[in-house]
Amino acid sequence: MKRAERLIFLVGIAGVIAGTIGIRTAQDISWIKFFDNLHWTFSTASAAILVWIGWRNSKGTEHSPMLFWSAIGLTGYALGQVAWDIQTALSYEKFPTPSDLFYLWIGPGLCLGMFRYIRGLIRREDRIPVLLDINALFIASLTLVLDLYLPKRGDISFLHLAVLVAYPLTLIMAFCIGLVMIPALKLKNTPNLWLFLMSVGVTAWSWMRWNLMALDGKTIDGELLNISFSVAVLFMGRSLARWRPETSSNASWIEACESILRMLPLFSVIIASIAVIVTFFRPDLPALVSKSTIAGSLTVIVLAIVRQMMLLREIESGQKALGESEKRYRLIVSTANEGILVLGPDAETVFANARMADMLQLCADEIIGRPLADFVFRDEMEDHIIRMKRRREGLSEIYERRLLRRDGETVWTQVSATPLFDEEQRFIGSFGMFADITGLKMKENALRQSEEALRLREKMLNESQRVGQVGGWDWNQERDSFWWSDEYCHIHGFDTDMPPQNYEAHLKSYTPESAAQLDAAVKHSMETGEPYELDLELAKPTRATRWIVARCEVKRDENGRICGLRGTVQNITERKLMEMALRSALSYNRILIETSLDPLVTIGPDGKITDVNAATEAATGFGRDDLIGNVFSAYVTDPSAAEAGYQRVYAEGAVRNYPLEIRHRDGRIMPVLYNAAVYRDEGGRVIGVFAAARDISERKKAEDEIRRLNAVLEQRVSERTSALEHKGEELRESQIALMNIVEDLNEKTAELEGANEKLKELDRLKSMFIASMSHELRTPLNSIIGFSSILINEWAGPLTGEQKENLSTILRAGKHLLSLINDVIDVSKIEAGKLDSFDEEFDLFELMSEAVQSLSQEASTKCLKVEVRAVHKLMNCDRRRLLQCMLNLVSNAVKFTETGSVTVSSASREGGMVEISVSDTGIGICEDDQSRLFTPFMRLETNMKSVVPGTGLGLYLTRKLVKDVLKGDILLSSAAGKGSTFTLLIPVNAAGRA
Amino acid sequence: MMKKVLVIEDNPDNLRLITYALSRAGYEVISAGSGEQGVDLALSEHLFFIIMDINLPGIDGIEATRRIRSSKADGSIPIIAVTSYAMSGDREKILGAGCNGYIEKPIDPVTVVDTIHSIIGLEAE
Repeated sequence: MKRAERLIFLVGIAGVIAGTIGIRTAQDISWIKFFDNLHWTFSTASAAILVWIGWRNSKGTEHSPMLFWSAIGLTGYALGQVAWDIQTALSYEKFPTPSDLFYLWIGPGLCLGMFRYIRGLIRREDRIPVLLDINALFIASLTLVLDLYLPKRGDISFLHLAVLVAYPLTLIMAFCIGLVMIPALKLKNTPNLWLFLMSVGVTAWSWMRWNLMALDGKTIDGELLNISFSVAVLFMGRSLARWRPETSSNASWIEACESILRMLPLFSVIIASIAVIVTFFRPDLPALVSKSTIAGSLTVIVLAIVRQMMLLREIESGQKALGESEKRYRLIVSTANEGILVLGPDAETVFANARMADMLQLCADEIIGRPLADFVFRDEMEDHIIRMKRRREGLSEIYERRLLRRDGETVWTQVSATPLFDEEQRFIGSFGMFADITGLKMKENALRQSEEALRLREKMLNESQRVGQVGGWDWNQERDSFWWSDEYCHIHGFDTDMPPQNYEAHLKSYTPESAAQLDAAVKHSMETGEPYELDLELAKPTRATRWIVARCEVKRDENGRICGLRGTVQNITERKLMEMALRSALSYNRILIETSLDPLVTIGPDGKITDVNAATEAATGFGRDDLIGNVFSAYVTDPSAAEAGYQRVYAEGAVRNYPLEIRHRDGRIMPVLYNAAVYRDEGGRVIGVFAAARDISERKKAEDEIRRLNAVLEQRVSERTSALEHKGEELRESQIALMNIVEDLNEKTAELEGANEKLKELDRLKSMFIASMSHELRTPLNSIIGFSSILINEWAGPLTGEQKENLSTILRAGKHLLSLINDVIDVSKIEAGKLDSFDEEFDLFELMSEAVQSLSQEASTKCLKVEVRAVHKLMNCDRRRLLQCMLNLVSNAVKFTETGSVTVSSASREGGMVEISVSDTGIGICEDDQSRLFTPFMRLETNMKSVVPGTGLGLYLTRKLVKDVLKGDILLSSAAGKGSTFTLLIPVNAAGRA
Repeated sequence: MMKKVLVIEDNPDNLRLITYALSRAGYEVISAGSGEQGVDLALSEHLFFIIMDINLPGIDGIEATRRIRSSKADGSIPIIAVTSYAMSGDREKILGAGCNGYIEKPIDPVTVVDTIHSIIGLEAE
């Protein structure tokens, strides 16, 4: 659709441009007319089609009627143009022409459309003012137009004039409606809107100009004015096709619209005034013109006045209504029982009513400007901040808040808070109503506190009863019913929720004796009104012994008659049991004291006896009653000593083994030792002396005997001691001699140690010497052996037989020298204990073959048969050393055998051992030599000595290697002339050996 | 083209002997008289294998082997040590430093090349 719209618009534009160019280039008037009509026709037709498209698109919206009527108007205009084209073609120029019938549709069509539009959107009460505005503007314009037209009327008929006037008038009317429509409907300020208004205005103005020129009788073909028609109409069509005005929400534009509306009457008056002024400056005008101008102007002024009055009244009534509602609200706010606060966006107080100020004991002015947080308690601050945040988020809430009054007191409030937003939904603060609920809170608190206190008191009563083990009770005689406390139940072993018993039933809670006592006491009290206090024992069907003390007093009614009893019971079981225990303990103590064989007395501070036991009676011969009350010192032989001892006890708290003699009534004396100590009452005060005597008559006798024996013994000891001293002297002398010998020995030991150190050092030097010497010797040997080998192999050229023989002598000698050096090194290493072993896995058979192989050449030169009878056996030990041993043995065998064979064999033996034998059929070794065979540098006396080279180290080294490195053994069986067999016993697995 | 091998040996007699054997076997022999020089050559030349005397002036053969093994991008070049019989216990040190095998002095020129080949051959498996 958009494309069709654009295409049609472009076709219109193309028509206009073609027409314009055609007019400018054509010479002939008929062509000019043709092009004139061409652009007219194209523009009007395009505009009509565009509006119809717009109407189709707007179906169902509020824009539809406006577009429909506009489309009708523009279609008429286009039809008129077609009619005009035909007229021009036919050269028909008489008035009225058919084209005028159609042309005239455009103004009314637009007016009608806009009217319908305004009517559909405007508020009912605004209709008349808008109508007035439109009319005032229209009449003012009409006045001005007539002012211009009438003087040129000439002789044309009235009808003709009316038609000529009708064109611009209807269009001006449309322009006025459009002009009023925009502010009245507060339409959004869009280019399309202005394009529409401008195109209507330009069309109106062009028609007026055109008609004026026609009235002047001027030719108007090919005028630029005509093109302005076409352009204006085309843009009118385009703007209407896109007609979608909306109500603006822009505040400043709305305000501007309001201002324009208010200014419109003035504007109309100005236009009318211009008309009057024009008339005034042209006195030659016909009276009709002046009159009509003045009439028009007056009408405009009247209309403007009416309109202005309406405006004023509107404002006035608006203000009044506003004032009244504000007054009403102010009244509500100021008399409200709730405190009202309005807060700004940052929670600062913007408004506070009198009640609010009252609640906080401040003036409203003192509150305004301060943040609400100033009145919030610290512990609620966090909550306050959260609430303020919720306001910002647009939430309303009702909650409780404590506020800080000026005097520091707390005001409890219930807050109903609502956020406030402006028209553009910006947060501008909040509104809060604070109901004072302090009184309510206080009452609530007081109630809670008194309940708490009551509960506490009851709890304390129960607690104190529990702690004191005191139970309370109350008995009503008339109803024969008990009330008792929890502790009472507890003491009696009742459940606290047990239903109360009557008197008879309750008596059964006690033992029969106690029940009888209680019954008697109760009856006595009920008769006489006297209180009682009884120790009672509870019946014990299930519980242990339990004693209580019951204290009771009588209750009297208002007439003074005895009506019941009340009292307490207390658990005294422990006390009772303790009393009983104490009683039995006392009698037990007395028995112990009386049973004692030692005389015991207690003496008071005055020195008089306060208590004695049976033993004292026996010792003194006086009876208990005689003794108690008399002074203690009267019964001993030395009263002053007794007195002194007695004083000492007081001074020191106790004396031990204080000797005294008790005098018996019949004169016998008993020597005793007194142990005495003060004794104290519970307060720690000394109340007397307790003295226990021990009869020591027998002991005294025994002591005398011991003393005599002691003297004899001492005599003997001194004799014996002098004899021993003599012996000791002798011993000391021999000890000194021994020590001298030991010293000598120590000196010798030190000397020996020094010598030993020197020897060790020498040994080390020897090893070092051998190691470095052998290395140095071997380096030149390397060359001797290497290059002789090269020469013998004829790498450097062919050799003669003699040369070859000489060289092989050099090579053999070199190799021999090397093996000697190697043996020396090995021996020195073994002796220094520095020979390392390196274990690896290998096959025994291969090793033996290798040993035999390396000596096969020597064997074959001597025509010896070498046999290997070995087993394949995986071994794990120092292969190199074993090979060295084998080479030694095999080479020995080959050396010392002239004819026969050398046999090398191996076999497994139990205990993870392997046996390797090297046998020969050589010269053998005689028995005497066999023991010396394995010593170093030992070469046996044989007839072969001169021909067999050797160092005498071979077997020594072999045995060392076998024993120290391979941890095996070497055996020899041989006889002179019968060959030898060397047997090695080697552990298969070196890891297994010790 | 002849394969190039390096012999690091300070004793001129020994050097001549092994060179003799190797040349006969068809190798082009270059030599170095010290450990440092040997390492430089080993790192700059493209070699088939290296014969390394252990007892050298300056850094010894073990250190030289270690340096070659740690700095040469192609660390797989065979290095065969030549040791003295007296130096037992060095065996672990020699193999630990990265030598592929060792030959004991005195060298037998007739068999030495075969021994070297068997060491390299074993290595190639």
